[in-house]
Amino acid sequence: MSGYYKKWFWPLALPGLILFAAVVLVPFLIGLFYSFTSWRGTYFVGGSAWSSFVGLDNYTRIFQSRQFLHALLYTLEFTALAVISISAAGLLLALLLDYAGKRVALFRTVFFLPNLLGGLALGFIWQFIFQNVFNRMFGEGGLNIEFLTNMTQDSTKNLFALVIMVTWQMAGYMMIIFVAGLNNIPRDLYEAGSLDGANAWTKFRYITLPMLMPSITIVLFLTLASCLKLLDQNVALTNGSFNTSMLSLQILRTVRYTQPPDYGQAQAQAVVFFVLVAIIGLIQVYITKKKEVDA
Amino acid sequence: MGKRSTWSRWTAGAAGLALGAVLLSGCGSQEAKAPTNYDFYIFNGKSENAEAMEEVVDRYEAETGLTIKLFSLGTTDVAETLRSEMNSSAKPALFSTNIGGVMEWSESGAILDLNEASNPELKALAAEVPEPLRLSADGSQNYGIPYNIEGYGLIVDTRMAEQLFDLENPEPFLEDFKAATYDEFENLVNQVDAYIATGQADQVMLNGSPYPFAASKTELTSRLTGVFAEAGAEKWTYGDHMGNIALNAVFSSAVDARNASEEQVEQLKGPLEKLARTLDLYSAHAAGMEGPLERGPSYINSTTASYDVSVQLFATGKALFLKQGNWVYPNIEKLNADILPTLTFLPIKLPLQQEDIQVEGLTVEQFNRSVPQFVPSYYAINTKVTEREQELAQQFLVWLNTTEEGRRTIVEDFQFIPYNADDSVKFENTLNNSLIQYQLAGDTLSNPFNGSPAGGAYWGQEVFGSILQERYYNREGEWTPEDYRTIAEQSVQGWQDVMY
Amino acid sequence: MIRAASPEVRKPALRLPGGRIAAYAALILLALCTLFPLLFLFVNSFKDQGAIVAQPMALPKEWSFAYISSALTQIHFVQAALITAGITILSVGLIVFCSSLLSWMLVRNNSLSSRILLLVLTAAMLVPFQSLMYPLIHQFESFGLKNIPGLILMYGGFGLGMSVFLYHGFIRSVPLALEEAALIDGASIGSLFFRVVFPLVQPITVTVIILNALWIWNDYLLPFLVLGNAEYKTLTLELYYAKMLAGQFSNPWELIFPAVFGSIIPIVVLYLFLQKYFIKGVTEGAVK
Repeated sequence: MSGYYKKWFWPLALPGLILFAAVVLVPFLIGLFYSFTSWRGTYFVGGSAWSSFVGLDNYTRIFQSRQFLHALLYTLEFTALAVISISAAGLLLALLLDYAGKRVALFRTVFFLPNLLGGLALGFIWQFIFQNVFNRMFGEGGLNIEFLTNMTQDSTKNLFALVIMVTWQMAGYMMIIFVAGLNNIPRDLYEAGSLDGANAWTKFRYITLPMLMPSITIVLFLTLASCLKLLDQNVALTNGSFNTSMLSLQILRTVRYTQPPDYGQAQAQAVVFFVLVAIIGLIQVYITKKKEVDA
Repeated sequence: MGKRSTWSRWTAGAAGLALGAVLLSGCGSQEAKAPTNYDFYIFNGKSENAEAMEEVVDRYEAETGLTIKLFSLGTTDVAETLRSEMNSSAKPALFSTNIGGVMEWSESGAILDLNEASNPELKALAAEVPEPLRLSADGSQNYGIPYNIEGYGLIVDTRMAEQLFDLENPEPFLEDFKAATYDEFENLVNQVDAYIATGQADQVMLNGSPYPFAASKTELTSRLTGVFAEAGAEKWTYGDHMGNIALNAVFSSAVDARNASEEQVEQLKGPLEKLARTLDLYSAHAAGMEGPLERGPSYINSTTASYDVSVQLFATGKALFLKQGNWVYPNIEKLNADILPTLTFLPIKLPLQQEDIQVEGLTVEQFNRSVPQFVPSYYAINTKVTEREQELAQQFLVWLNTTEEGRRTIVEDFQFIPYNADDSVKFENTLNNSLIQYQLAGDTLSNPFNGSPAGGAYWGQEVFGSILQERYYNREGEWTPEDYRTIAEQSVQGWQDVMY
Repeated sequence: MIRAASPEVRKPALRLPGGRIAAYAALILLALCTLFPLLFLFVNSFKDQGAIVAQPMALPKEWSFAYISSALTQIHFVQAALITAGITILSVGLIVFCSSLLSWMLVRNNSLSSRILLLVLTAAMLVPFQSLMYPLIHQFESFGLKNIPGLILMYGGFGLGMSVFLYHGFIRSVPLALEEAALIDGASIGSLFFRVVFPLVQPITVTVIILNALWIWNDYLLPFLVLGNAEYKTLTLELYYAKMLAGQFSNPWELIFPAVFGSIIPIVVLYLFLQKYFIKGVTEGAVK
């Protein structure tokens, strides 16, 4: 049996592997290599890739770049806030749907709707809402909430503007994952809880949350990855003004802010970015998996 | 057993592939191959003449029997797109570039020094490009033929000036304005502002001549809500273009700025401090839709303080001055074509002292009567295509710039001011005509901002423009001399930080 | 036991304070918040620039389709929608084909090398696009693939990581016995896959299709880098260039809003009809 599959392994796996190698693996390795050179996008300083080898220069310069370090910090702050906000909103929606029980199909449809929009389209709408509509609604003469006005004109406020926007966009998706998770919790657990006199909060804390751990792992993984790599929304809202560049945007900017364009440097930043995303992703999976086992 | 051999085969395969690709892209200095489906390729990095260029190329094709590939694009992404075309197998023979691109293309060796052009006519043409307009890395080369001349200043509708000051003929007023000192200009701004608010103001002196205000407002002057139409959301309007005025005190050209010494950058502090004072004056007297526009969050809001809004404010008579360039003409045309015939440029003035100016032979008076004019883009020849393509591209450039038909094309179809315009060149575009007048009178400044770090993209917008927008335009209240100094010092610091 | 048998009287996982009425009230409120930006977009697709900027919340004076139709013309709506649909369908097809075969083989040859391969493929989900985009474009360019076919291949490669991850998890739970039975009946490798395996993994195929189609349809950066301002553009690219060409420094909302509105219609309509599959796709994707 295993011999049969072994015979067919290469013929059947090859199309996928070739595609993967050509699109992801090889460009990634080339990029890794270029990050050690003074690559300029269309040429190498000194003629060839080998002669423009600069060792770790690009990497040491990264950690001297205030802009890059700021973008790094900003990305981490945004990600922390956004992951919490999206997961909490998704869970809340799921609990509400689950509780309401019947006639919720329409709500589900509505909550998922924002996921269909691309970052660019959505960015155009929200830019106008934050700069015009919010200022009317929350400005003087309106509800008078200073924090919600001119949100795209301040580094901190914009962090929250981005969080509002991605929560709006992604909460519905996470809701669906949580609904499925809730459906898998055996109801008699709650009945047992009721008999023990547990209130809604203790039941949520000691039954719902632990039983939802598998869904939470997935939700955290999805939100972490997409928040760390966020680009379109960042471009659409502020395009980096007011110190609001996140890493994806900062890397694209590096070649624009240097003359001749320093692609080697941008490539090194991207490698650091990858390492960061990979470490955070792996730590997250490790921790939540551990919790699942414990629970 | 089998496991190990599969695994090692796989790693070997991947490594081989990667290495192959690196070699291919890294060391592969392939020989230029002749294109098969066209004779040569023009990469036109300017959207303004995209359509006209298409027609011109069609005519040139009909005339010569050649097939030309033309690609036009004029957005902020043009540099990235050009790079990707330069990397491709179908490389442009003729491409657009400027001082920013020169650093890149001269280092890669893709740009032809026209001093060594194979076409003698092109060589001669290039030699005639006036020294200050030449494209070079350090002043010795001559890399391109200018597209055109652009310029900017304070655009004014002379009818507005006539009615404000009850003038029979605006000419003497305009001449006195050009010659006026900064203090006279500052006073004019304050008095116009008072007149807008109350309908009364003291007479103003310009170049020593008195100009009293009209006794009562007219239909036109009563529309005014402020002196300047500002676009606080657009950093390039002040970061690049106002910043450039101050740079002109120290650098006489973009090449100069590009090769600036640390000491020269330090010398920018004085002019930048004076510029900050001027920007304070402008932003404190800005026009809004219904009344004056105050500094603060709404001053930089991109839905209410955008480029369009500023043009609209000016075109509908809500502001006396619009600081913009001749490229704004079609935008005004869409909004209010009636004012087009009476538009003209006035110079932007700075409160400089003679010791602020480092450029040899430039006086404060001359500085304050001049408008910046520069070449935004150049045609350059790519050395990485075949000899034949290079030769054909050179012939096209010669045709465009020396033949009767080519020169007519530039003026009439592109609506461009030729870099070698003389008296005989006349446009319907009054702003173009105004620029030619300044050019003929020798009252021009240059474009050193294009030579600042990463051109406008970095220093102009991300350093100087950002400081203004994020820390000063964004808040209400007065600016102090201390603020002027801070703006100047931090902007200089931002430049020095990236010098290497 | 009885309850479990009749889903009608399914109990909620958690009773929230305030009763069901409160839950519905909260849902309605949240639904309105969710719909607000979309309603805003809809309403402002019928107004001129002045009305949008001055009174963005007001209903249009008249429901004229002038702005929508001119915006749709400008973004070459029909052409762009067809191109985007074509790219999406072919890319997703490629992903489904390659990743299902690859995952099947990885599961059935459970060796060290296939475990490492799986790890590498899944790790690719974490690779930021920025770290490989320049070499990628460069490399495809040199093979003459900086065009729509190249774009489809790129999507094929990028979608592979997540899809293999999903298929792999699912196929592991498919009993080998079914395949063995088919083999004993003399099935060829083709019919083994298409008649036995592929139908069995159909639920996860829906997921792979939906998740990949969603991002490919909306993607902006890759088409921008690959196609740029070429003659045939995707919808997002058309949207981007419509804004750019209207003036690099201006915001022509009377063009942007109706264009955005038009560009989201196809996917929203599709969603409303195939909602069941969307929800199912997302749900299945979450269950490893």
